[in-house]
Amino acid sequence: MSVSSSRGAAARPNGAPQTKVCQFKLVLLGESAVGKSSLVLRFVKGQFHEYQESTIGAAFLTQTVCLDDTTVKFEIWDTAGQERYHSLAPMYYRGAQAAIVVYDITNQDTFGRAKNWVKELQRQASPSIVIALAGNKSDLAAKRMVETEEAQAYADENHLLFMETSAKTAVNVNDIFLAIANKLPKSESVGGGAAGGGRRLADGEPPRAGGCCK
Amino acid sequence: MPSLRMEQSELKCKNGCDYFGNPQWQGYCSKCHREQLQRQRRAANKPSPSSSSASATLPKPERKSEDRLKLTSRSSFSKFEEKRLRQSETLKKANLLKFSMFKKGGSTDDHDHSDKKPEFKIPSAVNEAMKREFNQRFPALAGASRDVRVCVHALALDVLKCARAATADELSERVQGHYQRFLKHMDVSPHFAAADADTKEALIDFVEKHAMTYLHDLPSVVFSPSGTDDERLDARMCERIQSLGWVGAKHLDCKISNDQRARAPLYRAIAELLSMDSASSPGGKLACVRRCCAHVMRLCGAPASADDLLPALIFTVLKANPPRLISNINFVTRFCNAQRLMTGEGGYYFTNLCCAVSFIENLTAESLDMDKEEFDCYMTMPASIGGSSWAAALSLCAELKDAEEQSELVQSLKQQVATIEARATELANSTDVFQKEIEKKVADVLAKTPLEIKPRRELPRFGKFQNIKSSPLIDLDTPPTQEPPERDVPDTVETKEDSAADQSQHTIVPTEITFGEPAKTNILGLETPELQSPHNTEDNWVVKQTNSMELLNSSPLGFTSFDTRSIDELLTPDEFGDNLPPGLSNINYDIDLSDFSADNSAADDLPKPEKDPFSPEGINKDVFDPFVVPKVRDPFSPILESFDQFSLVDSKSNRQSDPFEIVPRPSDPFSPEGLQPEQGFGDAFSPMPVASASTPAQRPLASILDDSDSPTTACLLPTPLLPQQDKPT
Repeated sequence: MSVSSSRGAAARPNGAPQTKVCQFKLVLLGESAVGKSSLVLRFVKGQFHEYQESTIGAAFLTQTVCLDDTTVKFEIWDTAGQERYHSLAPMYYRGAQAAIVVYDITNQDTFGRAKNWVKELQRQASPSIVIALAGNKSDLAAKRMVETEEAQAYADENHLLFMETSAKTAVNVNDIFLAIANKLPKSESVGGGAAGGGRRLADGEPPRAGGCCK
Repeated sequence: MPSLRMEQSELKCKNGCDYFGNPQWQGYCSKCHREQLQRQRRAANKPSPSSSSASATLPKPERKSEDRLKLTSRSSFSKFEEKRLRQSETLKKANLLKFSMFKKGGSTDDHDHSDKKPEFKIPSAVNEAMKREFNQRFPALAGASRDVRVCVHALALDVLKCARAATADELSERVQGHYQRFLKHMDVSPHFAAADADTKEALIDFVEKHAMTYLHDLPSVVFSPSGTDDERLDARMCERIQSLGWVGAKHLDCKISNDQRARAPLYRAIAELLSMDSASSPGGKLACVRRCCAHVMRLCGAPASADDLLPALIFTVLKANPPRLISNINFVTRFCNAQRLMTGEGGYYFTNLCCAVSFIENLTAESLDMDKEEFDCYMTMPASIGGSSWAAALSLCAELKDAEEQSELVQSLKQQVATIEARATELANSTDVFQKEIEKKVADVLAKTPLEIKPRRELPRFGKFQNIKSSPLIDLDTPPTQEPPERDVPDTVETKEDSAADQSQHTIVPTEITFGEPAKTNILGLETPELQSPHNTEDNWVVKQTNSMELLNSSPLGFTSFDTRSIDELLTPDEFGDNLPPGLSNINYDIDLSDFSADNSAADDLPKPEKDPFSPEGINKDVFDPFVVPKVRDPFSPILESFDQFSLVDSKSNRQSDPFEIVPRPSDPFSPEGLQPEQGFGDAFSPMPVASASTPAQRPLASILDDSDSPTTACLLPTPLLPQQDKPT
């Protein structure tokens, strides 16, 4: 596993130029305060701040992962987790090749929400999207409310990647991203996926009827 | 008369566009008339007009009427708004028509982009700028410059061609197709072999930027294109945001603090959002959005996740109420390179903006987590209130900031004043202390040295002054005891003094010498007595006062005047008899006194003595030697050498009445007399050597003496004069 830390879209793989570079858009979904941002910060920056004192914006980050023959560049889009902004999520995950649905193992509700997210993704997102389920805060096992088995069962049922992660201790953080990178189809060119969706963000099929540009 | 009445329909444009027609324009409205003319012209040029041209002109009125229908059906819009929109619509059409003119000329197939239409060209200025920028940014790809420009031309041309016929979406598709084609072209063309992926991205951006910048400025082609509701949506959005002016940070669950410091990034974010409208390329607008979001992130504080970003961005949009927001968003979504919009930071933030706009459009009580009734209550509130409240809040913020600054300033000023006051009191105290100290010191000094008023220095009382002296003015206080006798001495010159006077003179003499230049002493040969006689300052004073000679000696000119000589003579008398040449005491005692008195009065005459040492003296000697009595002369001769002629004169005159002769000259010091004596002296000097008789010199002296005006003459001279006069005569 090799994760080269980089930030910004211009990051180039440091390997040989002949290695294929694949850029993927990855969307983070999940209830607020389940640790989406922490997870990404841990993955991208290798940092964890319990009280989030660092000044890095965690909304949009990129990270490059080197696999055997390819370099996968993740472009990670964070989404607002609040319930009231739920309806806007399709705008984010439109055109995404991967999504991580995060829940908090110490909070059953977040797991319920995660299930909803998964359902919505399967229904509305691109059919080839790779979905991973991440049970975050695994370091707080004492307060566990969501059993690993339960989540695993749900993941298997829906063909999801599943890992319990901890942004605080970095357990499984890189692993889950690597698993996604491995699962993603590398054959198609980077730009190909962009042709269809996402272009007309405003006048596409926004969730609410009478969307902004109709 | 029915013929005079015209039907309303008759006044309307024949084309049915609902505008009024004009007989001048064959019953068309101005616009339709122009179209008609163009059609005819085209028909004249081309016997077979393309089908598109027909579709270009004819359907327009229909569509417009459709629009109008739509408009009228929309009750929410005011009449004014309607009119404005209609006007803008017609304007758009008019502009489109112009472009369509270009296109129609030679267009055979719309899809052949490689083949350039001679009728249409991007303005050369734009082209040149493009070329320049390309060479600047991609110097390594000079060969590709033309390809890029061709692509830009093709894109712009295609857009202009299709702008009328195609819907905005179709147009967007075409533009995206151009981008894709250009991308493929870059992969194939040898010109771009040197370009890596990043450069290719930049090249696509370049094409997009220049094509869209050019097209953006053309009204209604790509920016809020005709046939779309963008403008109307803009207006509606604007209204909507205004009506939501009451929505605050707490409603949106965003953690914008009310702290004043938090306002700065908010203002910057708002400014960036507003500037989006003025950027003319999709990339530029995206950059504005990105910058705006960067400020919003700062507004949220430390690592802002999307949980914070989106609410804050919504808040910012609500407060900024950016102009033509929907048009801008649609412009970007339609004509920005799709790939970039899908990925990258710009795409992410733009998506956030779209989300924010979407959220605002669909905002309900639920989405604000508030009571429906409360929400309705807010929404029925006149929009102006919300808006004005925000405006008021903004201005309040500004005012508050100002007030804070002012209060800070006041605080600092207060501090300054306090320090100044402290220092002032300190200064006052120290001055008090200082004053006391000084007072004390002064008192001490006064105690140590009681004030003694010493007699004022007196000019010689001889001669003229005797009158004055008689008057009470001169010496009211006569501190030194010695003075009076001194004065007495001169006064008693005639009587030729008491012993007391002599003694006082003794004291005087040495001091005089000390004051006098050493040269004199040398000359006089009286060094020893001088050195030996240290005296108190009082004595000096006394001397000065008593002896006008002192004044003469101390004159800056430092002349060795006859005064000194006279002094010497004064010295000689009693006490210094040892030091002095032997003969002096005997002989000249009387004479000297008289001389002295005379010298005192002749203070002004100092310069003259100068002359003496040089020529006159020697001459005088020669002249006078014969006259002088040998016994007297010999002892004095060494001293006399330095003496004035007058001394000589004296000496010679002494025979008969020495003191008197000499006295008259000194009367000079006083101005009126001075002149005359000078002349007299000059005369006396020069003529004397020449004429051994020295009659001329003596005469003036006599004449001076005759002047009874001067006090000297009155006092001293009367008696002496007689003999002098007697002599010459």
